Amino acid sequence: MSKPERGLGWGGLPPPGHHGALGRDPVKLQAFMRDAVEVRLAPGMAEALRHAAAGLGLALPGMGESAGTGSATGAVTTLGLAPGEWLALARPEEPGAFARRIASGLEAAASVVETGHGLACFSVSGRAAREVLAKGCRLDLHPAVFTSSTAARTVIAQIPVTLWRKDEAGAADSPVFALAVPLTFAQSFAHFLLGASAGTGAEILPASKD
Amino acid sequence: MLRITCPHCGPRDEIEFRYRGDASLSRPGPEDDAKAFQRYAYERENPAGMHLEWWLHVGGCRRALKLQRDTASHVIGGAGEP
Amino acid sequence: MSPHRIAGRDQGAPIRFSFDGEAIEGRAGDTLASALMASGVRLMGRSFKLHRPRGVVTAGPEEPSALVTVVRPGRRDVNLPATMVELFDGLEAHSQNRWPRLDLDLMSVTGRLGSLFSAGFYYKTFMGPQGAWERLYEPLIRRAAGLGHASTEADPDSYEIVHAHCEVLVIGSGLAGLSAARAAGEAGRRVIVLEQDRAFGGGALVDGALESWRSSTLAALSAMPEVRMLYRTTAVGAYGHGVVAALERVADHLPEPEPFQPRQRLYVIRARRIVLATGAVERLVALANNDVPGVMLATAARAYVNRHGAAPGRSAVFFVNNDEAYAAVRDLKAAGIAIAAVVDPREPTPIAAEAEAAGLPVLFGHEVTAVRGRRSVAGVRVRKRGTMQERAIACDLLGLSGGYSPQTQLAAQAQLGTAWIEAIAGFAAIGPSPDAEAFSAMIPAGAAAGVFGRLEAARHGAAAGARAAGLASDPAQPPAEAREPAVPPRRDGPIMPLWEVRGRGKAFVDLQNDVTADDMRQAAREGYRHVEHAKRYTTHGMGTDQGRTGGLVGAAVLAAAQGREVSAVGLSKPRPFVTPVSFGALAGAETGAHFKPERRLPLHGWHEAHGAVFVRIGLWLRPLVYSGGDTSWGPVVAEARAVRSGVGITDVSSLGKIDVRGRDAAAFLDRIYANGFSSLSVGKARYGLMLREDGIVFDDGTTSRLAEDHFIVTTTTGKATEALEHMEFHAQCVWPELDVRLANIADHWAQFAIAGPRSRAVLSRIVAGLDLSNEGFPFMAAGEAIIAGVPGRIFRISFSGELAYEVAVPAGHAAFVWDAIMAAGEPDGIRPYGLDALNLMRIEKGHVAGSELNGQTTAADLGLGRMLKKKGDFIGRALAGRPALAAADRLQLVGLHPVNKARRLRNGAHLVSAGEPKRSQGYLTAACMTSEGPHDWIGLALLEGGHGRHGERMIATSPVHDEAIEVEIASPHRLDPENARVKA
Repeated sequence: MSKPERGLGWGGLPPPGHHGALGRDPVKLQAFMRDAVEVRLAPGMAEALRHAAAGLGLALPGMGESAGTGSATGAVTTLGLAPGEWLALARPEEPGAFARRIASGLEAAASVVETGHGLACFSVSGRAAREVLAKGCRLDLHPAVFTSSTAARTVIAQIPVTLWRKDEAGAADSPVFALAVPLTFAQSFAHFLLGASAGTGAEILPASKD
Repeated sequence: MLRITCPHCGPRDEIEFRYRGDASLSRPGPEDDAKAFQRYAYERENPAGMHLEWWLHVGGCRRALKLQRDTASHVIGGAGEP
Repeated sequence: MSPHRIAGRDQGAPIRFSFDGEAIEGRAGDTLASALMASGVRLMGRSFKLHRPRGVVTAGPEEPSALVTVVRPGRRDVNLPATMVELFDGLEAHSQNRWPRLDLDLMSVTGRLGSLFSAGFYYKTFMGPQGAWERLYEPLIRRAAGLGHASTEADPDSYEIVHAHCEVLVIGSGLAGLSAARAAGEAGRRVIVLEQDRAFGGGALVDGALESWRSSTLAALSAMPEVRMLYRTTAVGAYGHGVVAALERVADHLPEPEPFQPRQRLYVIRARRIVLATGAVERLVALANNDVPGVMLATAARAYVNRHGAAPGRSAVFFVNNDEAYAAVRDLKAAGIAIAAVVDPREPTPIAAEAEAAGLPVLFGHEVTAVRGRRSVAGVRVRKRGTMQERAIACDLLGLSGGYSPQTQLAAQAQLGTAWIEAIAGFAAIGPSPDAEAFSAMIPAGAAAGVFGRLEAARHGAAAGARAAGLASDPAQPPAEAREPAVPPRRDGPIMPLWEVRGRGKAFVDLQNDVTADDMRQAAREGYRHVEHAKRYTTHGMGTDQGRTGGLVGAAVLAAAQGREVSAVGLSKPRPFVTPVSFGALAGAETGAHFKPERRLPLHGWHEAHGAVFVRIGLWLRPLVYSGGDTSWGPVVAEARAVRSGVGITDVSSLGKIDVRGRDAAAFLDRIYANGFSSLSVGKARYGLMLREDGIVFDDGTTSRLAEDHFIVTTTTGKATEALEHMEFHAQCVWPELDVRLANIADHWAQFAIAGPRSRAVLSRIVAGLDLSNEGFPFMAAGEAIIAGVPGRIFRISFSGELAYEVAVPAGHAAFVWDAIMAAGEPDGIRPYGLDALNLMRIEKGHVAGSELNGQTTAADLGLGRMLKKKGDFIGRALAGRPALAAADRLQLVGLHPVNKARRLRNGAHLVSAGEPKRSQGYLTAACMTSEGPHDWIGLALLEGGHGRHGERMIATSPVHDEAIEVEIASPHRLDPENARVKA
């Protein structure tokens, strides 16, 4: 029996190349893959969770307080999505390995539920990224409001989206937005991205595991 | 369109929320009879004015908020957690 | 050069266009209205009801009369004000509501019979006999009345909706608006400025003294990176909480949109503060024949002269009740247009007196009583007020100014409130009051707030901008002089409110809807006292212009007829949209197949490659049958037979899946489900039934216990979203004391059902870490396993009624595992089956699905009444026990088959008895050909008292198909009622 290889789980963006209008600074569109777990704090275990997370080298932004912040520590990006609730993302590993590592590290302090295969991830980057996303995203993506450490869940093109910044520091002029949507909506979301970026033009990059 | 300030996510459009009804009611207990549940399930004040209501932020943090909304003017008095 | 162009004015490059087929040349920068005017065309349309000749009255979106149709290849836009249509090479415009031609309109006979067509004419005249309205009157009226005829082709253009945010939104870019934008921009705020025109400046565009101020202010604003200026963009609605919708006409001034660009763009703007600087619109005066082409508002005449170098006439009479209008008189005179008279009902004011001293023939204390001419103004009749003696003055242009109405529509929508201002004889936006502040976030400025005068409006705007920016509301320092226009303070004398001059002839208060002052009086006489009632009775204030030029005039006539003040009568409520918006812009990109997003199974590509016929259910695209397009019953029955005799596989990934954890997970599920789950052993699955609080069935599905504090709930595909919200709401709001944590895992797990007597043999070949024998993994067992090398879960559950398993693996491995199962099943002839076969088999088995869980059925109706717990609370417990829900004649689930087994049954057919063929006693919820007989049909139905009627014969009738089929009622559990197969 051959070794199982994780696939995107959907058809993917069109083949790499230029899409839409010419003559403007095009955005870059890319599909990518992540392993992911949802971490939920167990009642009364905040201190234990803080301790266990520190042991794992896992940053839990806005611990127990609010949603809306993201933080990347080493290979793991952690987004605070609701009080006591986080989404931790990492590059794909052996099936189940990431979830097992986080779950065993956090033990009873939190529940850890694997959700990464259910996410289709996209990055939209470049000078016109905000203009493109504004054609569906109701959030204020102004660099002073949606900073490089902001994360949010919202709805774009009738599709639930988890949104965060994936750029290197100081890239306000040319941000990299990452968007994770439920896998089964991926094709429709790709349609939205292609439509929204047609006016500025887009460069489609090959799907990536990075 | 309402703009609702979620205590966790900040100001968001109404479309992200699901209305879940009168938040001044509490569900009758295991010993209560159909009469009590009749009130809980069906009977509403329908005020023209401030109304306390549940909104579930399904398009955001998926948390329920208790919201004060003026049904006549749409002025929102404030939002809080359960 | 055309004699209707003003000599010496800058002229743009020539542009060729056509109007009603005639080739005409205009100039770059022209609107259709100015180009027609400059080529001598006055007659631009026929009126809505009376077919009277009409020309252009205004120079903006408030235009009531000059409505045209613009035709482009594949496109046809109707009812466009010629004042807003920008000229482009090849523009093809047509007049409307005329037959056969604009200059020879045979329908204009209605205008002669005009006295018949008074308010309420249609309601009173076209009564009875029954049915005549639809068949006779309405088609007749529709032919005679109306405006343009829309295209019936699909719209070739695209549209987009853009979400925007700012700290200060400035609506309008006149003196107040630009000043507000500059003040807010200099304070560092994020500012958006909306201007409906193709250029910024508002009133400053037609006032030469303001040009240097306009250009320096625009230069300053363009240097501010956080100030965004949008022109050709109209704020069309204010929705409270700082939300404003605005329509940008991206490509309406072009032959067609640029590649990849939309035709129009709808902005949804969320602003912290809004400065309403929408200015004011000049009002007409109701007087006899005030609709003849050549009657024009004074500011409009000024705009055509100053902006376009187009001459609205050669010899003008002005009839004005205010000093502001004298600027128009002066500018027309300077452009070489003869001023035959300025008729001013007032005593001389300083400004008017200066005008007279400068040589203008001003007739103080006079009024115009009627316009002469039919297709074009030939002159006016004038008299001294209070006398009866009239004299005629020849002219070809009447410039009217009855004062100025602040544009307060958006303020009213934002609940800002308006107030009557005596000094301007109009309603202006006021506020905001503290209560409105919480809702509207809007600050009115300039003429919209009733502040007239150039310097005054600029200062008022700057203060509003500063306040909107959060600076001190009353700045100690007035704005620096460099930021203000270099014009003197306002010194206008008072306006004289003047709404109507009574005379013989139609005096219009609403040109677009052909509503006259007499109509308003008639409405008052007939009891339509409230302005909203009068509006609906007369149609006053409706249409594309929403009564901007005559709304208050009509209200004033209504008020006078009632002996009330116009300030007490008020204006009708202006709802969104304040100007017309195309449906395309409202839909944005979500049209056609993209009206809703589509959900695709992780194996969509495999299904497609293997001949699946897809069906859209809710948002999902699901394989109906693998037949390469054949939608007959043959392939469906073959798939079902393959399962019943061997093994099949189907994709059930669309089921809702919820991970439930926490110390109180079992207690929570006990309350969510009508049956119990705390008694479920780890490693077991159980069918669960969810009720609504009113006792009606909400959803069903299988829930498995993987650990003491860990369950996997599956919901139906259709109710997945609702069921999750239902559980979240109860966890958070009703029982917050329970430790229960919910995660939506629907998309992480792909799930397949492998069903049929050979399913165990097939799965055994690729499953590791789990004993699949009947003893080791019995019916309703659940557990984790390695499937084809992939860690996943296996549930021994069955919807088909056969020995069956559901296998769940992470979606990224779905294709790999599916292929492995197909390969492992090859010796057993495994084949995929679709939704139709799935449905066929559940009908044979008598399992309920969406059409039986229809929001009206109880557990007892479905034969599941015994599932309800006797002990402990659960949602629906109390109300499910209401006597009416246990009534013997409720619709109850039954099976049925035709007496002639091969007769086709239909979903939705009604069940009647032979003796009572018109009383429905129930209906079929499902029907299919069976997997057993060669062509046998069976069905499920909801039937009055059905549980006790097995064996009874009835008629399944479908009148739309003209069918009546004899059927026999039976148990719904037709296949293997002992449930032996699933346990084999």
